[in-house]
Amino acid sequence: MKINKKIHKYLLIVVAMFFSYGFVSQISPQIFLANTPQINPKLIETFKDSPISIIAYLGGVPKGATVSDYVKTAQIPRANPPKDLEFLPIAKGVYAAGDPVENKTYVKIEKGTKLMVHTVKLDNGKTVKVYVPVE
Amino acid sequence: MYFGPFFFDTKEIFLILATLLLGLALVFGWEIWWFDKQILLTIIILMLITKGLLPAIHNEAFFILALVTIFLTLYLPVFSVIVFYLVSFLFFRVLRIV
Repeated sequence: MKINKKIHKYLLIVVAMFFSYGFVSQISPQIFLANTPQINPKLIETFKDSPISIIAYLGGVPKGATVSDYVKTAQIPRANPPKDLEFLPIAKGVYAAGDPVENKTYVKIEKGTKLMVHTVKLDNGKTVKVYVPVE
Repeated sequence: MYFGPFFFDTKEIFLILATLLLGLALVFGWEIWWFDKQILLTIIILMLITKGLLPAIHNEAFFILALVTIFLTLYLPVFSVIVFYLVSFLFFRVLRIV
């Protein structure tokens, strides 16, 4: 019982330090300017907007984006294409490359590109999501 | 060990000794490999303050955090290390470790 308590305590200490390291590496650079105690003026601007915009700001979501946008962005499937592929532009901020070995096509979307999400039902009954870049 | 009306345990004495050594290293220009003396001194002053505020029962958590913080001074800028140290204490409190 005593050993369990000790393990629990050490585990909590590790978790606490892990979270604070996460805070220092992810959130602190958004709050403070270049590792100085000066508050980032952008943060104060964001504070004036709304609590949701603060969360979005800390999470690195562009201004004006909603939480729903953030969730939809997270839902875009990710892949690890081979390194030697040559991506060619097919739309603004969108690139594509074909892998002849695996017979696959990879699409790369640049950070900050706005996409519309459409749900399309195919002839074979399958429902797929289509991402259309917005100018 | 009692010094006048004050009681010090071994860990506290060693921490104070380390601070004195660091002070001497700064004064006499002794080299400490990899570590920045000024950063270490800043961190140790913060540690002495927090150690003074914490009851002895929480020594273990304090010394683990102290060691990790000193190690992090090798990799992170001083401000980040200070934020790490203070935020860790906040999490210690939230998770009821101290």
